[in-house]
Amino acid sequence: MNDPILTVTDLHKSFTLHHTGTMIPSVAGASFTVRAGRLTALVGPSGAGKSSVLKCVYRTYLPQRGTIRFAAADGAMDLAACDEPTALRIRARDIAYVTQFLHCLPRQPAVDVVAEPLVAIGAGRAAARAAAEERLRELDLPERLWGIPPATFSGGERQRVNLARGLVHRPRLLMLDEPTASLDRRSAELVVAAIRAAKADGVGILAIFHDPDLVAALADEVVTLRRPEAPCAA
Amino acid sequence: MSDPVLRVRDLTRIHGPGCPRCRELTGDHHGTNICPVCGSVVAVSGVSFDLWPGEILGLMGESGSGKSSVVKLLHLDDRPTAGSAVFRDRDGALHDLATVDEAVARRLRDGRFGMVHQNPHLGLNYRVSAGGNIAERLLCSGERRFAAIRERALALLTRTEIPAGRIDDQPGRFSGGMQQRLQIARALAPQPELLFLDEVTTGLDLSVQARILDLILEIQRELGVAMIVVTHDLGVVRLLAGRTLVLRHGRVVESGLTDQILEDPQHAYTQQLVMSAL
Repeated sequence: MNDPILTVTDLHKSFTLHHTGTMIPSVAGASFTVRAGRLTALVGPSGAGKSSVLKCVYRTYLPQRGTIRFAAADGAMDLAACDEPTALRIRARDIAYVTQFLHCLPRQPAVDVVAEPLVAIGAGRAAARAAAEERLRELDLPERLWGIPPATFSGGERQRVNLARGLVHRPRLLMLDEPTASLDRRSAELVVAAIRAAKADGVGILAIFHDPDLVAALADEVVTLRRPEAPCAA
Repeated sequence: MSDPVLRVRDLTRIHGPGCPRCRELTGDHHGTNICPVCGSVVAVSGVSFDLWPGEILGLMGESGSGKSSVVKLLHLDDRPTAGSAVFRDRDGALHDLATVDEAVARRLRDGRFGMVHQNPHLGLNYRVSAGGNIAERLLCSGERRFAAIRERALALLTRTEIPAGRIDDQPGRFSGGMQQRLQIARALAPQPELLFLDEVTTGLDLSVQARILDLILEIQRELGVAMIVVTHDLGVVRLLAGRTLVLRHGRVVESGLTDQILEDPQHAYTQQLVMSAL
């Protein structure tokens, strides 16, 4: 049940800005494990590279060093080194990444925003919508909002849409970047309940919380990242 | 994983006499694609990539970077100086686009490929009606039954949100966005396996652009057709393409997942492009 699904070893990430000749270190040697049905929290000061770690796992950032072993549905692989079509396939099916910001088409109704990950892996539109509605109901998003694009929603409503979208295709790994930042108490409670339900469902979670109480309440493992060295000449 | 629809290797196109040093003395490090020895233009050099079934691949770069030249070679509007581009059709037959004869080239263009140009005048026949534009493509791909042609034309016009009542109007009477949608309908007529989109939203109003981009995504979801999207617009690749190649001076300077290219660009030129975005 609680097998490791993600094992990150000695991850290093820096950015080289060619026009200024600067090298900006971001992640300095992160190592940790995420298990199925468990939550690993990344903590550390601002600038310690917490969000960068999530982006490396998602392959939005290319790490300079280290391995990112992921147990996908069809076998283990290193996300730092696998080919791009494989990374896209794993993303679509096995990993959900929920940031503080909901990136979606400004003209797409909330229910379709949530249904999209299912449609992308081949579910029929009607079935995907039904699953999306179920998630939105669980997260207590008022039904009158389902047909409206989330651009006009409050922060709490938008964040619930975002989380519903992350959970709709039941990923193996869910990554959360401050999912309760700037939420009122009621919205935060709903998000926390959804995180607990996902854990109970066997989803492995890698999360960044700004609230230490949430770390204490939800995390099974806490990984402290240290701030890397200052930028230097490339 | 299934086989790629297209396997491109070392694709090269040199305009001019060419010499043994053309490729060596041009490109990113030299800051030019004009050979200093013989004056030839190295439009495309050493371009290699795979295109997977159902995938949308972005080709990004500034004017003159070679992105449209690559598409011309793949759409058989031009022939490469060197390299190969093997297209696997839905029946599993392989065609090297670098060497196919003109008869096969015509068959592929008419039946297996679709092209949507930036300029609708290149993609549409303005002397016939909207329905006629679609019918032409269907006739070329072997359909001869009038009722079937009319029915398919109507279905495609509806799919691309052109009112059925305008089937007999000539494209010159359509708005810019509608002409682009008619080009898409025409390109889709023979149910192509590979669709090329060359700067299809450039010069259109923002709301019209959005509608066309949505339509392209919907079509990709419905039909699973593989697409190559040429654009200089970072927003277009972000929305459409899972992977992107960045071209400069006819070379691929960087390739990767589109969000990686935009958020963690590795090459100095890509960094400059991303920083120039509004």
